Amino acid sequence: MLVQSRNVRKTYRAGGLLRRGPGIVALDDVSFSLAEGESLGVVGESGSGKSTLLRTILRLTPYDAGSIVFGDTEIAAMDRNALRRFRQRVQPVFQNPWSTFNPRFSVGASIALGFDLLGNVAKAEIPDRVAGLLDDVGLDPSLARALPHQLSGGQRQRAAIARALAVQPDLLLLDEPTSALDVSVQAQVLNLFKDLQSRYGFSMMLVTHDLPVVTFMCDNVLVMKSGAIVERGETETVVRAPESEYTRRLVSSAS
Amino acid sequence: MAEAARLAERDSGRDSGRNLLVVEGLRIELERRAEPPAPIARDVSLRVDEGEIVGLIGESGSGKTVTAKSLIGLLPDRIRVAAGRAMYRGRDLFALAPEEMRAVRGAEISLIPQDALHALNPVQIIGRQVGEPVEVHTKRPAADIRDLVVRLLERVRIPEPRARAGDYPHQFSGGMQQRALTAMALSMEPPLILADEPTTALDVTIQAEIIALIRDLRAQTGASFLFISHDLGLVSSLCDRIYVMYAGEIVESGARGEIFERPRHPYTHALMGAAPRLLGNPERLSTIPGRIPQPTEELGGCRFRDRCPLAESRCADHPVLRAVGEGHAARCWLA
Repeated sequence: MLVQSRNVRKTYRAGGLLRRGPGIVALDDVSFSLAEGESLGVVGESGSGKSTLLRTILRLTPYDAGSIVFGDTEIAAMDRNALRRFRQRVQPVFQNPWSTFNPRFSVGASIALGFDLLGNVAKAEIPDRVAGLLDDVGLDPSLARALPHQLSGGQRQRAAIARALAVQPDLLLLDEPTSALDVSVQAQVLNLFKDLQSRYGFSMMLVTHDLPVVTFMCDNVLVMKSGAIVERGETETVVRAPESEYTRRLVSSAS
Repeated sequence: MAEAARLAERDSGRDSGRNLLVVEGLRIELERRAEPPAPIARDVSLRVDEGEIVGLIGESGSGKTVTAKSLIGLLPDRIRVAAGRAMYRGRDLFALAPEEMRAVRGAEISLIPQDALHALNPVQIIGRQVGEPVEVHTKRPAADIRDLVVRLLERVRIPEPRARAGDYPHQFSGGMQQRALTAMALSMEPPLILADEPTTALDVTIQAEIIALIRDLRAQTGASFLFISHDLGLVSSLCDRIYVMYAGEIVESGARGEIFERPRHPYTHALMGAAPRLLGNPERLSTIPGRIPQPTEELGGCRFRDRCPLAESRCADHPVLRAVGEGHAARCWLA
């Protein structure tokens, strides 16, 4: 297993001056595992905890209880070196690729940062590697010189994918990666994820509220509600015969 | 060209039902500093009948939102209607003086905007905002308006409407904000409601609620809707008739069943293949080569030609929108 999560809990304390009250349970005993090369969908509505789960796996949000093991190391216990290596092996792609790029760096320069991190690519080779990645994601290599604002939304998301791939990750964590894109552009980007996965063999965890995107992309699915996993299984089985009332509602809203 | 589009629109017309809105040959232009104005909607003709829910679908830059906004005089600066007319109950909306348009907007034709949070005033309570159109358009006493607001909030299924009317927008969830805006758009019981992607930012189950609400409202009040969306699934479940826009023009129109079961324009066809489905997806989604053009781009000939798998020599001539079936029109030589 690439990722194993056991009984992960995360509670946000209620706001207010005196900070009393039970707080908000963002993750409630979340257990799941993700195999190498697997694509796992996480669906649920706003506030279901799906984005918190993603941030927890990225170690951007600490959890209160339970464990998340990546490879063979508990992520909460990683030391500096382990964390550095972890940050290279796990790469996020967000809904809004603006957050991925420094607006004053060329797209190529942002992607090249990944090679600095890897440390095993000769300086002279970097421009060719960047061009290769841009080509992989279906962008003209000359766009390496462009600034992020000179790209269209779809091009920017492709460039964000190229940046994520630069460090040869084992796991891509995708948070609504196509929700801001037009239908025809979304199709290009979803196909691209599939093509790249079969080429490079990384695992994917895809968080979205869009069930058809999950049935197209993912082998398995977790359905989350109020911080807990309410249903899980092979995607097609879950969609064809949803067991929980909540999943039934999601499926009927999407069809 | 405008004439041909008008004829095609008339030919594709369903005879039952009275026309509420008939737009003919609409051209919207962007004024530029050094260059001549550039069109962002070209030769748009469409109609909405009484009690009809009409879908206007398209991707970014297709011109769907400016088309809707032009109808109620809400075009941004430097964007103006350059040609065409929009007949609404015997009057041309484009010929109205600003004060006449103010009397129409909200009372006759209202808009449910896309971005609920930004459309609401953050420092004014919800109830006041929902009642504002009535306050502006009528001389009804304040107590009456307050009662009406409670009924409206009830109708859009805001729980405890009397208490929640006193809330500020940030105390409402996204779905509730969108429902409050819907209540506001309904407050004068306008015959025509323009809904600009009213559910795009919402969760799917709330999306389903708003859609159910629009259906109920049509059934209860007989209101007509022009429903603007990029979401094919949503449009296919809600709308009676559909117009598909691409790069500033209407490329196909027809009844829901015609458009979804027998799409005749290659763009409509490609768009449907590009959307993932809940079940029975292919290994790869079909894609459209190239990129979405800017509506201002002058492409010469069919505007979809460069991306079209079927393009041939005659596509170098710009096609007119012509009838291809019962109430069905397409802007394609090959349709």
